Order: sequence, then C-alpha cells, then structure tokens
Amino acid sequence: MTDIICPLCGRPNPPDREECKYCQAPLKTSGFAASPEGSDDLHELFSTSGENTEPEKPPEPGASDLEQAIPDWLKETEASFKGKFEGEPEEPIPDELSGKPDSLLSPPSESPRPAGSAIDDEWLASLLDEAGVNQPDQATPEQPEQGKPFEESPEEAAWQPQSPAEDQIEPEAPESTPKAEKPLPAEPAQKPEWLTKLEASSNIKLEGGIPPAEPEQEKFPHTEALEEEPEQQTPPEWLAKSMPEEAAEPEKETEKKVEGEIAPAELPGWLEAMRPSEDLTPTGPVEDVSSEDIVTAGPLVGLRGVISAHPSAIKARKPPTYSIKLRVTDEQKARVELMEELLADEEKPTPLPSPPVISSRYIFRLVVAAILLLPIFWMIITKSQSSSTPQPGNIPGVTDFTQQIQHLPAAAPVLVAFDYEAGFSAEMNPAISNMLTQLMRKSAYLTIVTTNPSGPALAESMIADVYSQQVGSRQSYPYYADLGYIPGGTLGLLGLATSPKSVLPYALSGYNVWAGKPLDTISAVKDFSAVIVITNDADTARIWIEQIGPQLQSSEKPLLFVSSAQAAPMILPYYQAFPSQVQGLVAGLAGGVAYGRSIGNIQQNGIWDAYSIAVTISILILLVGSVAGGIVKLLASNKKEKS
Amino acid sequence: MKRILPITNTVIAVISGVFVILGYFFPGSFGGIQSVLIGWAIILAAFALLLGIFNLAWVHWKKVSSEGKGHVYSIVLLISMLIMIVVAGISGPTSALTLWIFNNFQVPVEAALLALLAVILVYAGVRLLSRRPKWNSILFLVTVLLVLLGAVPLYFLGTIGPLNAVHDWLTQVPAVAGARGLLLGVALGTVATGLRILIGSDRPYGG
Amino acid sequence: MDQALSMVTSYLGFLFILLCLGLILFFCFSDSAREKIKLRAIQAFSRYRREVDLAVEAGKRLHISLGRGTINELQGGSAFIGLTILDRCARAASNSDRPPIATSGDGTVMVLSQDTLQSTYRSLAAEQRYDPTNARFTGLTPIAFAAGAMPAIHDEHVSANILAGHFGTEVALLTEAGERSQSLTVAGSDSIPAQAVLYATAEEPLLGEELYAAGAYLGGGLAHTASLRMQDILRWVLVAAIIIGAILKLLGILA
Repeated sequence: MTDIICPLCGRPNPPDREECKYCQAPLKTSGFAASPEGSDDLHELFSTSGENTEPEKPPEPGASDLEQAIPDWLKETEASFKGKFEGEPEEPIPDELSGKPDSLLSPPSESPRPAGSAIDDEWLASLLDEAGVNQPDQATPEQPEQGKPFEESPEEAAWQPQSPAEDQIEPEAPESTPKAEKPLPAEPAQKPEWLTKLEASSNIKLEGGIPPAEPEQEKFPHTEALEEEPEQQTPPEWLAKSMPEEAAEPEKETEKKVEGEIAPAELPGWLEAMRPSEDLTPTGPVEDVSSEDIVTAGPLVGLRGVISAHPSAIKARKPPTYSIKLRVTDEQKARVELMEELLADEEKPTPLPSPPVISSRYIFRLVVAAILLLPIFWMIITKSQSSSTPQPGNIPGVTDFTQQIQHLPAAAPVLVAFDYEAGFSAEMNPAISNMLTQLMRKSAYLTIVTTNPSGPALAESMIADVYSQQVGSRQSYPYYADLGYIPGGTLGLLGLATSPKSVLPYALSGYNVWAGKPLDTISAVKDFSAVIVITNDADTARIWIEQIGPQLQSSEKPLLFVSSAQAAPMILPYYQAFPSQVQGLVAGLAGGVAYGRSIGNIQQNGIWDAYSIAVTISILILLVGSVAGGIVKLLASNKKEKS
Repeated sequence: MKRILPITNTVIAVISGVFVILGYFFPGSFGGIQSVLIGWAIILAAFALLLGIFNLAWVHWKKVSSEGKGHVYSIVLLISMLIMIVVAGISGPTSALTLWIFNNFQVPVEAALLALLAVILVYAGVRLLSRRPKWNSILFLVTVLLVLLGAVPLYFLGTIGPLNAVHDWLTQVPAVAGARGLLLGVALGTVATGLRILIGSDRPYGG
Repeated sequence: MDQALSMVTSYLGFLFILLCLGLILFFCFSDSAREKIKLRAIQAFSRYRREVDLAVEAGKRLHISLGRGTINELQGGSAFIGLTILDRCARAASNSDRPPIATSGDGTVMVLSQDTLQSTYRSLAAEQRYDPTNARFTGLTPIAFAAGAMPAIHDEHVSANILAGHFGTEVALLTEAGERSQSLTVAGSDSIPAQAVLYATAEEPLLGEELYAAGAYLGGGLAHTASLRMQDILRWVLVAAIIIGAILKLLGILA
C-alpha cells in the first residue's frame, strides 16, 4: 500500500488517513495520489488519491481523449454534483442555486425548452425574470469575429461600476442580473461560451492549434431582457461576456431544468456596481504558445504553454552547483590591492617625530652660558682686580658684625650654626672664612651645630682650611666641638634653645663635651657669648630668630648672621628693627668682601671682578634679549592678526 | 580592623596635636607632655630619614634590575652610596677620607648645579616677555634689572649712586613688604592646614 | 585692666587659633546646607585638570613633587597640601596605565606619600595598583633632591609635573627639566625666592596662597572650602590690624 504524500509538508502518511499526521493538512481533497517514499515520480503525486482505493476504472469506450485525460475524481465529483441536483431538494433551494449546473464535460444537450427561451438554468431565468430582462427574441448577441479583440458594446458599457449617487440601491430591486441590451442567443441549452472556449482550446492543444481569440460580443444581458426572454436557452450576456472566446463551435450545454422558477432577486446597488465592466475586453493570450507542448496529464490536460503537472514534465535533477570562487576582474584586483595598501598604512603606527637633538633653545642656552662663563673664567685665571671692592660702611650690618665679634672675650664659647647648603659655598665661603679667622684670632671656643645633614662636613672642612691658612700647615683647630646634626628642624631648635645638653649630649667624635670646659658652664643657649648662624635660607634664619632670639635678647647676647644675598632682604628687617633682633649681618659676596676689608683680609683671587663682570653681562643679556624677544613676539602677533 | 585602624590613627593624631598646641600656650600645664611628644617626633624624623635613604636605594636597585632608562646612573648612585656608608661608618663622618670625598665630589657637584641656576634664570628672564607678554612680566624684568644694576659695581661703569639708592629702596621697601604679605598668607594657609588635620578632616596618615 | 591686657597679649596666639577653628567649623556646618560656593578661576588648576585627563588618555603619568620641607617645620603646611594634591591625582589617574609618582626630599613626607597612595588605591578597591616605589625619596639636600627628581621627569613618561611643597631656588632645575621634556609644570611653593623663580620659569605658577587653595579647587571636601573662606576673612582682619597699627604708630600712640 503506497503512502500519501502530504501536499503541505511533503511527508508520507498512511493511505487510510484523511489528514496529515504532521501538519493536519487534508490529504484527500487535493486529489494527490499516494506515492511510495523516495519516489521522484511526480506522476504518482498526481494520480488518483488514496481515498479512492478502487483500481482505476478502465476508460469508457468511445470516450473522447479529453474525457480520458480527466481524472476519475473529477468525474466522480461531477457525478455527485449532478446527483444532488437530480434529487428532491431537502430545503427550498435559493433561486440562484435552483438550477442544476451543466456538466463541464459533456456537450450541452438540447433540452426541450420552449422556444424563445434563451436561459438554460431556471435560477438564472428566475433572476432574469425578477430583473425584467428582455428575452432573446429582442436581440441576439453578436458573434465575435475571429481574431478581433473584445469590443465593448454600448450595452456592456452599462455594466460599468456606477457611483453611489447614481446607483440607487434598491435591495429588493432585482438588479442582480445584468441588463442585457441585446437579447440572448436563440440557441437553446447552449453551453457557456467560456466553457466551450475552454474545451476548444484544449482540443486545439491536443491538436496543436490555437483557437483565435474571439472578441466577446455577447453582452451582459439586462435583467429586463432576461426576464423578457425567460425561455431562451442561451446563457446570459454577463455570463457570456466573461467567457473566453473560442473559435470552435461551442459545445452544446447540457441543460437541466430546475424545478420551479426562481424569482429574480433584486441586486443591491453595490453589487450592481461590481458587475464586470462591459468595457473590459478579455484579451486573448498574448504569448504565442503554439510551439509549447500540450499537457497530457493532470488537471491541466490539453492546455498549452503551462507547466505540466505530469511528473515526467518536471525532471527533478540535482541543483546546479556554482563555484564559490569569486570571479575577480583585473580591475577589481587592482582596486583591492590599492585598498589593502591603504589599510596597511593605517595599521602602521606613524612614528612620532623625534625632537631634534640640537634645537634653537639648546643653542641659545649654550650661547648664554658661554657669554656668562667665559669672562668669569678669564677674571679668575688672570686674578683681575680692576673693580673697586665694596666698603664695609656701605654694606649694612658688616660693621656691626665685625664689632660684635671684636667685643667678644677671649676663649669665649660661641655657638656657630652651619645651616647652609654646599652649593652656596662659593658665595659664602669668603664671609665664613673671614668670620672664622676673626674668631680664631680671639681663640673663641667654637661649638658647631647644624640642622642641615651636610652641615657637619662643611663645618669641619671650613675650620680645617681656615686654620691651616692661619698657621701655615694642615692642622686642626683645637678649640672647637662639633655637636653634629640636630634632627627635627624647628622642634630640634626649640629643644636646643631650652636644653642643648639633652638634644646633643655628645660630639661627633663621641666625647661628652658638656663635661669639660668651657661647655660645662653652658646649660642653655643664652649662656653662649654669641650665636652665629650661617645660612642661605631666609626661612632657616627666621626660625633661628624666632626660636633662639628671644632667649638671647633676655641675656643681651648677640645673634649674628652670615647669609647669602638671596636671604639678606628677609633678614635685614630684623637687623634694622628697633630693638633689633639681629645684631650683625654679612650677606652675600659683597658683604664677605667688605667684611674681609674690615678685618684686613683682602682677597686677591679675582672673584670680585668675576662677580662684577658676570652681573654686568647678565644685565646686558636680560636687557637685549627681553627687548628682542618682545619685539619678535609683537611682530609675530601682528602678523597673526593680519593673516 | 580595617575600620578601627583609621579611626585610631585619627584619634591619636588629633590628641597629639592638641597637646602640643596647648603645651605651647600653657607650658606649665602641658609643657611636659609637649616635650615628650616633641622628643618622639624628633626621633621619628631621624628614623624617617633612614627610611628615605632605604627607599632611595630600593628605587634605584629596582631600576638597575629592570634595566630601565638611565639605569647606569642608578648603578653609580648605589656604588657611591655603598662606598660612603662604608667609609663614614669605618672612619667616621668627619674623618679625612670622608671629608675628602665630600669636598671633592658633593661640594663641586652641588656648586655646579647651583651655578647652572644662574644660566637657567638668565635664560628664563630673556624668554619671559615672549612667553608671558603681560605688564606683570615687564614690571618683573624692570625690577630685576634695577636690583642688579645697584647690587654690585658694574665692571665698566663702576658704582652708580642713584642706582644703589634705588636698589636699596627696592629691596628694603616694596620687596620686603610684598614678601611679608605673602608670608602672612602662607602663615594663614599653614594654620588652616594644621587645623584641618587637628579636627580630623585631612588625614594624610592613611585614615 | 593691665592684667587682662597682658593675658590677652599672652594668649593672643591661642585666641587667634580658636578663632580660626571656630570659623572653619562654622563654615563647615553652614556650607553643608547650601550650594557649592564659586571660586575665582585659577588657570593653573584648570590646566591641571585638563592635563590629568590627557595623561590618562595618552598613557603617560603625572609627577607630583612634595618638596623638601618636613612636617616638623613651618614648611609642613605646604607638604600637607602636596599630599592632598597627590591624593586627588591618584584618584583622577587611578585607571591610567601609568600611576602617578611622588618625589620628596624628606623621609617623613616620603612615608606619608606612600601611605596616601596606598589608602587612595584601597578606597578605590585597586590596591593591587599600589607600588611603594612610586613614592620616592630623591635626595637629602635641596640640590640632591632636585638632581634626583630630574631623572623622574625625563625618564618616566611624565606628561605633567605638579610641584607643590617647600622648594628653594633649586626648583628652577625641575622646571627646566619639565620644559625640556615638554611637559606641563604647575608649581607652587611657600618660599619667597622660589615663587620669584617659578614666576619666571614655570608655565603655571601658584603664587602666595594659591597653593593653599589647591584642596578647595580640586574637590578636597567641605573643610577645604571652609578653611579657604576662613583665610579670606582673616586676611582682611590682618589688613585692618596692620593699617590701624601703622596709623597708631604714626600718631605716636603705639610705642
């Protein structure tokens, strides 16, 4: 038993099923024949359905080729349909359905109709009666000429859809049937033209000819015409109009009389408007299908130029395989390469332009340095002394500084704080050396402290150098104690001011210097004969003044400063105040040179000339460079504004 | 622990700061505890110095081991540090060898860098007007020139009396006045910063 | 009367501190309920914010130098400001490929900068980014500190230098290094000579109290804004006191 192939999902189903078990689509209505699984024979798909398990009936003798080509299911459908209408209707059949349809296959038989009746179907006749269509006696539809297209007759124009304003809708008006201006054809019981044409075309397909398109000349009959000619056997005009024209003689319709007449219905206006337009002329096939094959099997048997349902017509074959290789022309290749080059350049990081090793700024710096340094070197090398050295009286604080030290008693304990940076040695060494010279001449006991980590080393070096210059040999000054570095900055000074023994109990050498003379009499900073602070930082000077100064003031002990030129402006107010908190000040190279003159130590190393020429050149560079730079900037900004 | 530690740090910092301030203004009542706390601070500062030196060595050791840019100079630094520690540790911080190294390496290098400042400042002064063309810059440059002209006798011109007087007036009146004003502002800022720490708002100690 | 006057003179400093504290607390509580006060524009901080963003985008780092001042001295105030700036920089550049580095010339400040970085990253749940060597002690003396910080500017892919702390004239070496490495330099110091040098050499100098306003400008919190307002008020008080004192001195009333 062959399985039924579902028309929807294509899966095989048992032959006894009416619906597909996969998609529940009906299996029998389409009339597809069961085909064995895997079969590619499409003929089996179009063979009789499984519902009809009976073997195929042999063709009736004398049946036409057309009848032989028609499948059995179609025949049976026609038979059942005919049978329905032959029996008594169970319920009153509506007028439009009262007439039995003609067989699609058998030629129309001439029914004993009363003469003049152009309507085969009684329901149609009733419709026409209701509409008051004229009988076919009045007019006969024109036979369309062969080959001419459909020509719209004036009557057909009446079937143009009318506007609602024009079309008066009368529900009870029997306008369901079109009005025929011309009477129905007088031939009784004729098949509809479309059917005859269909049969003719199928015959032609079988025979190989194409029936010429016949213009439809039959017009939609008016209801009045139909009513007037109820007995005509010809089909109504509207029906005739919609039928395709056929060249061959239309087959006679088999007419069946419908029991009882059906009163023509009144068509509503909108339905009237839906009548096919008389202007529309069905055209014949535009395609020349004369060379096409005629379908020999399936529901489209006899037709030409259609896809045959015969399985053999559709040759299933493997789909053609297409090469996946891209067909690229040379031009396209060239473009691709160009694009690849562009993208490759994008991926490559462009190296940042490296800054030039020698830039204009670098050269300018070298020029400035050379202009500054070369004269200095020259002065030092030649030990020039052309510039006048400053006088002690002209430098504020130098004279008082000298006098304060001069007034110290011999071997007096003096606290000296080396709180300057090694980098300021060149500027401050003249003043420091002169101070140490003066103190050593008085055999003062130097107590060295510092809040700078490099202070002890600086102090040791200076003391050794100065004493070696004094005695002429490398010896260490005997009257000093280096207590070393005081941590904590301000806090350390505060502790030193109140209790120096607890803050610095031992010297750098490891000895307890507080036990021996002269430090055994020292209990606080105020016990020292003087405090001399050597610093380059104004803040450090301020801390010493604020932390140590009050204690010294109470005991009227001098607080003296040796500072760099940069700190002098901040220390000078303390010196110039009244009462002054600083009793002497030697600031910078100028103060050191002046201080040296006051103690009779005039240096001959050309430092002062070098300093003088360096300052002069600096002034010149600043003046010329600033003016030139300003002018260039001004010109550039003007140029920018103009542009 | 993560929550308790910051709170504890804050409490310790606030209490310590309050006692030190009170000890400054009321030495009789809080002077003792102030001295103790200051002593602790000095000791901690000294050990922080050692930590700084250790950090310096660690950073440069890491640079040498990773062969970063300029790691050669880090090698020189580490070797110098090692030599100085060994020499000063053995012979003492004021021994002849230590002082020889100090006087022949550190002093000249620092002096050279400071001398470089002169060139840098002259160069910056020249470019000031082109970089910042404002009236402030012009006033700045004019002041610099006047101070320099009166600071020392010019090499070819000698001492110019009026210039000396201008120099003295500039350095002792407007400069000092401006400096004092700046210092007052700095002092106010320092007070504000300290008070923020005292009330626990600023916690630079990882609170 | 004399006793009262002497007591006031003795405890004038203490009263001054109490006044400052009271003003800060007052402004803290009053500003918490009002909208954020507007501060005058300081170009240095505007450029700083832009440079932080650019540094993060460019994958470069920030260099914050805290100076050589120790917290035991008067320069400690500027060191704390530097620590505040370091905290803000570390937060702003926390997602940068290269974290900021901090250099200092004092051991105590170095330890505090390490602690600041660690606590900042901990608060951002990014403690794995903390590296102790990002807080560096570069030198004991001022010149040594400057000489040690210069390689950090040249070799560490620095896009901006923020110098906030106690510097001397050696700060010119740092600004020169910043200019050579084509990095922005925003610098402020509490030292007068350093401010003069910075005016001539730095791109964005912070003069006077502008350094101490960094906390308020960088979003340090309500206390920073309140202390800034306190400084503004007391500045006028000091101005008035100086003028009145000068007039009294001129009139011979004050000895």
